[in-house]
Amino acid sequence: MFEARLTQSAIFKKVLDAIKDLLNEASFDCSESGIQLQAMDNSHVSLVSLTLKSDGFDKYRCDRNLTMGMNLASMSKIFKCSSNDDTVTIKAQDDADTVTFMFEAKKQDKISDYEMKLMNLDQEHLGIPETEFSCVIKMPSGEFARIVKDLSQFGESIVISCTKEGVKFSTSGDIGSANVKIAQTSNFDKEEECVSIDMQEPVTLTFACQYLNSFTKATPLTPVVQLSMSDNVPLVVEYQIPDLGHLRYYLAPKIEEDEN
Amino acid sequence: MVRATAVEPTTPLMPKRRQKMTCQEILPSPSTPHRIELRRDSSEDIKKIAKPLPPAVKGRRRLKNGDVIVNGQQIKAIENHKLTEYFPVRRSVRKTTKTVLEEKQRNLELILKKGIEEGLEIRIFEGKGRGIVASKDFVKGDFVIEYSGDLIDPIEAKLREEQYSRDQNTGCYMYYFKHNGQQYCVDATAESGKLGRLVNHSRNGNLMTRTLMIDNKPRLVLIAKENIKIGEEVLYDYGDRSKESLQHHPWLAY
Repeated sequence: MFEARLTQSAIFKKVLDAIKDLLNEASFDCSESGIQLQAMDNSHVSLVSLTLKSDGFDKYRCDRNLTMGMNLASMSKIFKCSSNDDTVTIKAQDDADTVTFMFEAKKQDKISDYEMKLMNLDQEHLGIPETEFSCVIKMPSGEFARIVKDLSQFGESIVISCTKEGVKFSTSGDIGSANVKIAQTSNFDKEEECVSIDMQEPVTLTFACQYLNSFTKATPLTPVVQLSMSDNVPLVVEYQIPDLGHLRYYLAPKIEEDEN
Repeated sequence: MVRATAVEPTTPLMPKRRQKMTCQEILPSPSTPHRIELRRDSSEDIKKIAKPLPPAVKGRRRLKNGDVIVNGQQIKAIENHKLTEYFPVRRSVRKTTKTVLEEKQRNLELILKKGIEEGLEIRIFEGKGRGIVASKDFVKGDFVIEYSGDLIDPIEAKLREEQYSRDQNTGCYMYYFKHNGQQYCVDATAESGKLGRLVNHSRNGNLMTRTLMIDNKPRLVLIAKENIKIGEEVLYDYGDRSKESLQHHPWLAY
């Protein structure tokens, strides 16, 4: 028996909005420690890794580890039927081929049940090594979304270069080029507006705008985003989900091909 | 699939069409407006369609290695790489060492919270009274039992010791330990039915003590120092070497 209850269905809605751009379907791995999801997009260029800890739920029970393959578009449809402050309960039997979402409205005595068919997904699971990154940038998530959106009008890829002075986002295309520089700020009053850079070595990497844009769909989850970069390893874009866990995106860098 | 994201100065109006051509030779661009997919969001784009393509595009040539030449200037092809080139695909459901450790810790916490005592039984030993014997095999590193009792501070412990010393029949069940620089004591004098308090002393025992924080309170757990077979008595070092204690309890020396 699996049962997870969350008083704010809005959080789940936001999580779904943040991943359904990249993934059509995904396996939710449920265990005693919580719910995990790891999946690559169709092109295998980016990866989504979601962790929801069991302590973050208002009620959590998972007798046996189980993997639920779900169609994210269908799941999103179901969650659209709920109000943001509805309490949601996700339920599944141990060997079931369906999952049930129950929404309880705060004010009225209204309970809605949605049962969804599960899918058998044969997904590849990647082993992600723990890495020390050369640069770790924390910045307002809204600012990051804005920069990515603005720059993707000009080119297909964005160069992110991080130095002691700050971070530079740049791109170029047919009409010309664009650069956005942000410097480290030390506004300790509002951590959420702070830009902080933890740098061991300067790094410059190129990434496809298309994916970065999809990542920024997670912006409503939290005010701060963390970008971790090292030479020649995938970028990690991390959004914390307050009290519940985190959502991480990995993106392979674009690399100049050698002459031969 | 989406390999066509190579950086080349594409006209923003027809990204789709350009992508398809990346693997072939570039064809002369048909500039007939009706063949171009319109983007809904900008009306400005529509005006641009009427204009001929910028001359720069005509000078573009693709080399065999994927590089693009625009007006004699060579632009390197930049390709998207796959994540699978960086991270290994795990076909099995093996867990990382970290998750295994986390699960172990969580299990231990659960056992402690529920007060489960398994794989042990009481046996009376001649000369030393009750002792605890393993009724199942334990592997080195396994959790065996908790030394459970009242968690008290040293001041309270002193008071209780004085009280206990008046009665000759009370054994010594006070376990003093330090955790994060703070002195604590677990008093297991009361007959609680718990087995941890009955484990006997040996200077080369098969258990060792660990402290573990649960709900912000330190707990004492006894862990198997070596593999323990069924029927073996479990023992740990009480650690008390003071003269006074040795006088009263000469067995502490062994």
